[in-house]
Amino acid sequence: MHNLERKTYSLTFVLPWLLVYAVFFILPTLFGFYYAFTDWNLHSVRFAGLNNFVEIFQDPVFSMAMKNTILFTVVSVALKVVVSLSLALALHRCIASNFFRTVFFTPYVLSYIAIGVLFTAILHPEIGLLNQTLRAIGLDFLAWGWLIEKGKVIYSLAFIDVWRSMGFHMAVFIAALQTIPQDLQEAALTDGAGPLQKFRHVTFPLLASAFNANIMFALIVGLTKFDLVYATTGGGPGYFSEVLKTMVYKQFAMGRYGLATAGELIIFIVVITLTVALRRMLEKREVEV
Amino acid sequence: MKRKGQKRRANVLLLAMIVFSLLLVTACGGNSGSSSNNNTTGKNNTGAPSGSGKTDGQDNKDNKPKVTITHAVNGDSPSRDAWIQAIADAVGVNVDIQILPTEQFEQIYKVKAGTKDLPDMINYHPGARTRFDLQPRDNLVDLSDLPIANKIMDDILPYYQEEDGALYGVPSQAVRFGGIAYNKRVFKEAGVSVPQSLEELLDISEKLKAHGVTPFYLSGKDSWTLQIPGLVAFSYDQLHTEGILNQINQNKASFTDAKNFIEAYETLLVMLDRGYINSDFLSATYANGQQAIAEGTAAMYPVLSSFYGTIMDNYPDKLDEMGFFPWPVEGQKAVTFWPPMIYGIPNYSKNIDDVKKYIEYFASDEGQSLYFKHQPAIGVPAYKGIQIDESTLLEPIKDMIEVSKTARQFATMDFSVVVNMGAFGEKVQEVLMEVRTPTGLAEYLMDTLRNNAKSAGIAGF
Repeated sequence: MHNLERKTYSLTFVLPWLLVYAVFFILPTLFGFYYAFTDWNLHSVRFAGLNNFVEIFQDPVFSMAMKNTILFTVVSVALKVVVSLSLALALHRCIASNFFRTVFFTPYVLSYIAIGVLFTAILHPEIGLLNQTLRAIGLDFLAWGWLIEKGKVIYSLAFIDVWRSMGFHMAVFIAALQTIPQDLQEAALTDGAGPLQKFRHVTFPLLASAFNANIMFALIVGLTKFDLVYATTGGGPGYFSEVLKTMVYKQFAMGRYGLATAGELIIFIVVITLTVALRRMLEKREVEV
Repeated sequence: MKRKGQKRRANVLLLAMIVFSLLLVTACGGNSGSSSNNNTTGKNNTGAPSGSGKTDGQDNKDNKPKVTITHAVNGDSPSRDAWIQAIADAVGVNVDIQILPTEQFEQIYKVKAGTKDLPDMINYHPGARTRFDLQPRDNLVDLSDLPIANKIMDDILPYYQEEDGALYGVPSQAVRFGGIAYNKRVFKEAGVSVPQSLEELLDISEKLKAHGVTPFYLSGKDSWTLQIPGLVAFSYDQLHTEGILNQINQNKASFTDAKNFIEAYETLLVMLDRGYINSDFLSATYANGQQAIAEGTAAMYPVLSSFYGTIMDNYPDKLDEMGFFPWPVEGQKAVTFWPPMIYGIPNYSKNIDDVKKYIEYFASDEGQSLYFKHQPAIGVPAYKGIQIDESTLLEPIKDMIEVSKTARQFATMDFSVVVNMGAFGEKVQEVLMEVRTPTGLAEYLMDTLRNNAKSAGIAGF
């Protein structure tokens, strides 16, 4: 008989990876923190204290970008979770489920740049497919300027993002649905539970971990969204679809690297704070099978 | 047992395929020098490392290997590639053209300068942009000893020459103008002539609208095009208020003092209100604008004269229907010019002498003749003493030459301000959406200039 003994791997196994992680991730991040407090133009660096942060907070574009980022995130997170959960429940055990799963997952493999170009054409106010169709069926009053009206553009972008990502979130929910033991469902059925009661008292609690993972993932993606906005509207018209990441990009483009890095630091703090807070809130309701 | 045998055969087959693929790739990849012998330019949008000192092919005359010059350019343009190839052929070098996306062109150049990875032959904005973004004193070769340094037109020389006489770049194109492109056929059919004032611009727009065309085209999706009316109108501010730009650069005046700049956007608002501007002005692109003017569905479009180069690429048979006039303000006319991008050489390039040869040939009479043969409508020569055969001139260039004879010329304000202000097309979108006033736009520009100048440590800010 061997003595049962808890053994751990030697730290030296981990050391090379820690080193790579430190050099390529931690150090650049720390440098980024430093540059946020400087006037930096790639050729010279001058310490500027809190000037960059003061300039960002005084800039009306920042408050607009923050408002748009929050709107985009809230709308896209809510819709992604609701739509993908509905799809997962519908496709979990339906006929030709593999075919439909593939159909709904396909947009996820398209690049945001391609999607941006595609939807710019589809949502064009005059010659776009959507408005032409609406006009053809007599719904002219709905033929809006989806990407050029100030009150609609950020919602249009959120809908595009939901369309693209719902397949991914659906796959996470389907994977979780497949882990729910059949006997629990049958026991609920035996106890006389209807479909809604079964969903509320059995399925939904056991989906909590997938639900939380989807929310966390959608939240981080929403707060750091850049590619879709850049490719579709560039933050316009005006600044009505400007989000934090596109604002920072434009600061980089202007050559204000210190200012842009300060913007990145603000985004970093916002993302960390919100995800940690939400994670703590959500993990309380996770159930283990 | 049978299954085991099949598996072994499959493994052997797979291994054989891998070996065959490797042999094939090795065979195709070898001897690239000889395979590129027939091409003097190669297009590349992946950004190969600079200063490679690569030699491809053989020169027929003295059997010396041809040098390949790396060259990063802004966006794709077949007509530009054609004249680069013609110059390269004449000089006996290869030019590896690296196409940078227009939206990221400046950022990529700035990063390449910061990481000492500039291509052998630089093509970048002149003046303050080169000075701030590329740090020429540290990075670029002083070209003031080249004979062509004395041939640069006096009007544009300050955008290339430093105060101490150093010359870190020379013009790489024709001098372009900013103004309004118009369709001469449509004007003739509608019975209108070139406007001489903003009132006349509104009058002819009414007639053009009645004629059934879009009088004035704006392409707000490519927001940089919305900057043009303001930039060209600012030349009238320079004409009417002597020294206004210097005062702005010293923080002693503001863009809110630039009445013509503000009036340009007020005029656009009036035109929008009266239905003279295309209804999809916020989603229309530069390509849509080219098409509308070339096909005559729109009559006028504010552009830089490089517009005619793209018309030549896309609608060559329509070029002679195109015309050009400066922003119309009553009285003496002012026209805005864009000093050409620079040709520069990084001081760490391995091909400095070959790039100098290329540049010298480009600026020579023969080189300029080749250039204007391929780009007959983009602008006027940037070098002195270049004779163009007037019988071969196309309509837009005839208009530009005529305008340049009578109008006061001013370089575009965004190349002349003390520090990069960044793009302001989004702010113009806000003006056109009536969420910001034209005066508010001027205030924004001045605030941005002050912040950026302060950050760059410029005195007076």
